[in-house]
Amino acid sequence: MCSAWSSLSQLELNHVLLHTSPSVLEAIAALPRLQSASLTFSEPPDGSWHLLRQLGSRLASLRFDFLAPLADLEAPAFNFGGDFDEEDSEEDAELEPPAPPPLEWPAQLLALPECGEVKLFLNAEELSYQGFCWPANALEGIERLPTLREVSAVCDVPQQVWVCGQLTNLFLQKMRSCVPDVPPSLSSLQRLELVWCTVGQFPAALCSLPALTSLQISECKLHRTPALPLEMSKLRWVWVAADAWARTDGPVELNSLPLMAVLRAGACGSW
Amino acid sequence: MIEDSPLDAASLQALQPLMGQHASREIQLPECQLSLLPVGPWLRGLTSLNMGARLADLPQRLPAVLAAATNLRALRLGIEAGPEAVESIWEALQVGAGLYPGSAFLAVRTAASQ
Repeated sequence: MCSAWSSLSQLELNHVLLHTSPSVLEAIAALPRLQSASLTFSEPPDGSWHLLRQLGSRLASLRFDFLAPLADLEAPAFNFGGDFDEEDSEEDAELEPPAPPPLEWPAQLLALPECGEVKLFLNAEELSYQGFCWPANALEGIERLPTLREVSAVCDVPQQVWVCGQLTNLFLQKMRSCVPDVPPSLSSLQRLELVWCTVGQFPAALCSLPALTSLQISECKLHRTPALPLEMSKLRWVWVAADAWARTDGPVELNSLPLMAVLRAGACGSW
Repeated sequence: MIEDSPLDAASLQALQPLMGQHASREIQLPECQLSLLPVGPWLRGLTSLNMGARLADLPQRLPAVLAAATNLRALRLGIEAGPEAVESIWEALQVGAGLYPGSAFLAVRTAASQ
């Protein structure tokens, strides 16, 4: 397939599943002026990783949108009884809930270190009603991808993200239980956004991230007023939506919050 | 900038003054169909366009818009199609793509047809 978009420097194909058409991926890889690309997959592009490596070796920015694998997680049909015998056993086995497919992303992603920066968007929203969670090994080894700079996640995030010391941006939306109690190892994280999350008690561990300069908490259900310690004095931008405070246990005097101490210290640029 | 107009007949009438000498440079109408956008010289000054589109309309409509919007630098389309329709989308985008100017931004997002 010949591409006439030869002048393109930035390309975003969101929610367009590229792994179903290697020829399109091939056409994209051949775009001569492309500098930045955002591509969507729900399965590894078998046989096409060389094209992604080709892209990654010359792009300043490459973002992968991972949709949760819809086809592999459809609800199983119900068996409405009948005598069980050995002849039925194979059919019954087919009705078992399908296991999440093995994810081979990490090993392949680790082959993209030449790209200027890699961004991941992990979208489990369409399966959230089924209680979908990314498998425990979903991003195993991703902490060793040196150019990984940004992770965005909807509804669920693989545990490996919390040990990615190279991350600078982390955007979390609609998380059901996203923020771990253990101190994360996000030593390079500069920007953190929590939107529509059930945060509960604000995790103190996040408050002591050494490189954090931008924090946004909006549309979140906070069970307890966050107590942001003075260790966050490096913050340059803070935005906590008013409704987040309104959903705490009671009315909160803003000037009673430790956060205000940070503001008074002059470290924050805006409210 | 034109933003979030329903782009029905009455709206188009109201937009007529913007289609003159001082035409809009940006149009943000993601909920409106590209097929409803009046094509004419007023698109010459347009640098950014964000609209919805039916896949079937693209082969005819996109070349006409691109031919008129000679200064367009950023094009964002929300296409009514399933995410697996990647080849059909790409083929539709090829028609008239040679008219697209340099150093450009293209964003496409699919949305299931209603």
